[in-house]
Amino acid sequence: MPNDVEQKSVQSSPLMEYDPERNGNYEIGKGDFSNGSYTMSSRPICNVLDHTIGRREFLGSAAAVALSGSTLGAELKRRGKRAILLFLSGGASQFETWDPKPGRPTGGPFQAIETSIPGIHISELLPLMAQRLHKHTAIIRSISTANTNHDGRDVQRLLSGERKDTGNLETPSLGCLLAKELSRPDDRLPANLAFYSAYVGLTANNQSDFAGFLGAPYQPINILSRLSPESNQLPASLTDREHSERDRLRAALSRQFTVGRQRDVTLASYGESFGQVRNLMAQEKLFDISDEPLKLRERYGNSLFAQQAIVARRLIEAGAPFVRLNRGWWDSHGENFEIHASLVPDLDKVMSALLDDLQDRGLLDDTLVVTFAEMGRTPTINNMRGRDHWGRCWSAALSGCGIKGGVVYGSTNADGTDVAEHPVSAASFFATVFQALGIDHQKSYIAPDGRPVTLTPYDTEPVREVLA
Amino acid sequence: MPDPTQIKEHKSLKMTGDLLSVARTPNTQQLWIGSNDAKIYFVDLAVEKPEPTGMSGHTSYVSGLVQVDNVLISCGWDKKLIWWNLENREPTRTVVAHQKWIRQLVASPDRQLIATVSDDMSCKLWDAKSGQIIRELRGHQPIIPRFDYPNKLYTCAFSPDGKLLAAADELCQVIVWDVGTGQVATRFEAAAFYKSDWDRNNHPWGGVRTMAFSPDGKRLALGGMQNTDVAIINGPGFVQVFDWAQGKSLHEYKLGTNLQFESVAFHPRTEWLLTASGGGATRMAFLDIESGKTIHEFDPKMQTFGLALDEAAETIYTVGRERVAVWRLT
Repeated sequence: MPNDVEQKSVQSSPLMEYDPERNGNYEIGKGDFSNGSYTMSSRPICNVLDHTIGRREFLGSAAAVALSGSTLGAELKRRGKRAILLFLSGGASQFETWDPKPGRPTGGPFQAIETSIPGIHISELLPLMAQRLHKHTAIIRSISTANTNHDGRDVQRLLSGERKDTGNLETPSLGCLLAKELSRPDDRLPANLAFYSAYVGLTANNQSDFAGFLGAPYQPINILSRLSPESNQLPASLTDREHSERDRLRAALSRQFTVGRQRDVTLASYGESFGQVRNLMAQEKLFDISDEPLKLRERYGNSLFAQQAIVARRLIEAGAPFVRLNRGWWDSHGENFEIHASLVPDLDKVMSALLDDLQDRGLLDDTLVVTFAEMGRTPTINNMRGRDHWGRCWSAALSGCGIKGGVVYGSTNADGTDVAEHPVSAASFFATVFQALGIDHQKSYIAPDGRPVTLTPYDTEPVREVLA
Repeated sequence: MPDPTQIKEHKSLKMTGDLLSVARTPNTQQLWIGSNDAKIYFVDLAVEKPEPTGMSGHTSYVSGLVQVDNVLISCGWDKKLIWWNLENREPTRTVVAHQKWIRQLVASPDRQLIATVSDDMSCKLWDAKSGQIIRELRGHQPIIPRFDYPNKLYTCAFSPDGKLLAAADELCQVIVWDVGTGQVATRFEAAAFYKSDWDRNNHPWGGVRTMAFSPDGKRLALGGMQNTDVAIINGPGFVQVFDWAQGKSLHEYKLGTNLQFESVAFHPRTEWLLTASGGGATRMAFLDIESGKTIHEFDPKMQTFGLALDEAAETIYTVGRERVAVWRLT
């Protein structure tokens, strides 16, 4: 299958086999700025013509929306798999979502409702997902992790699979690994885009994905409390030509400075960030949802999360390999039930609309939607009617690409205080994500210190029961 | 006259769970208590060693109770209203009253009507005896603007003459209806209870959680908090007294830190307004609504989710987290 071939080509290029398309050592052009003989190469530093092509590509993508789902689906199969991460930042409660315990002292006030899978119940706050559960979604109710914090390093440990086999080496997080694995050299869009609905998940608690030794191209471009990057429009004082010329000059200077410093990730990050600006500017229409049909927008709803989800779908449709929607803020130490009464219906609406939308466009078979958080919430209800931080047993959902819909894997005990059967570690969960996308979870990278590092620890098994 | 500054705990009963609502049988020390274990407990505090006995019928938190003659009416997060025969303690009528969780149940002063408020954003008037719905009152927005989250309708109260019914929501919109016609008598906003947090947490915090008309019917006391961080209960408890007809704030009371007032009750001759916190820190306070001053505040050592006064307002019954308490003004 074509994707297998593409996957092998990526796999044959371990990190330290330097990838000129993605690691900042660009063939940016030939000639001399000083005498006007300079000519540009086509990528990644691009000229106006490139932007025109980019817009045409975008228009092509937009036009493709009007095509039948199967046509576009076949096109995407050719191009590869995609992933969207719905990260429930702050820690959504498993009791008020996928693993309700009504009538138990830990259960809270919400009822459980029947789903489209006989005998399976989820929270009454998720009626739309309940109707769709059999189609594309698997629930894992037995995630068990060490993390019980929101903050940067703790979340980074979780997002890199809570691995213990790499010593002091900081391994990349899930989002960046997916960005690396799913992106292709000819991608016109950034490999890793992350939208935040609440800045507390980024600025107060740095929950951002981190590329580490993968390098700057896979570091996320974080978009905070809005639908588009802040820098995707030209300042009024600059023409496109002027901006393009500045970009060329910047790239040329950067190239000179980079000589002998190719392995400096920080330096490459700067270069990559600047380099991505014009790519993003050329794709600005993707971030504008005003041309989406009103009925579709109503299905998603009007929350910021909903609107960011529509942008995510547009990006995926246009070929972005990985988009993270960091939906916050779920931290509910006080008034857990009030907060979940607000946020879970929004999640229900957005998640169900996104899955339907992807399916209608023929994208869902090649797009994995991963829904999880940095942790769950305590069975105990505190004196502020809140639930606190909890890692011992909580839930996650996988939908779409490579997933056997309608499966509920693992369980917790009657009060949700511990895993009853089939505990799933972060590493095992991530291995499942990789496998669902056709990525070998045992694939090795070569770390900067020369060690081979597998995507997940060597003894990790994916949850095969949820894989299609 | 009993002095609220001399309030003393007279009796206390340890129970389990969160005791969310209370109704007292008139001229007795008998309480009906709604719990988060979905049961209603009867307890007679006049006996030396009270033994709570439970009644089952709801399937979620029991959020409201009223007694009308020998009938008890309860409501819950299971969306149901249940009428109970208090002689045999069996349900006589069960009605799925709302599409979403019922937050509160109150009885009109003449006990002919009951009113319920729910997160389906309707306030419903019912015949207390027949169980027939009389009127559905609407006007609160179903959605929190900009955020696009469901709104919540937390509390309602009858005026002392029974002619008006007020209700308030998460957006702190207060609507007063004419009970006879269902027409809106007035509406106003108690904005000081609401915090919009778009950027940091992307969800708001707020809501008037409890309300009561003053005995003369001219003022409306609202209770809740002024939160500073939506992740926790983090701010002072807040009570605001309005001239409701004018929508004009008369007095504000900010008390303590990290607490939320969830009960208010007036002395029958307006000697004081009593409030108690349910979420966060534990606090009770007597407020002077003429001067705007706090008469007395103290720590009752319990989160208080419901309270009831005796006929003379000399004894106060409170229910809350794992405890029932009887307080005497001496």
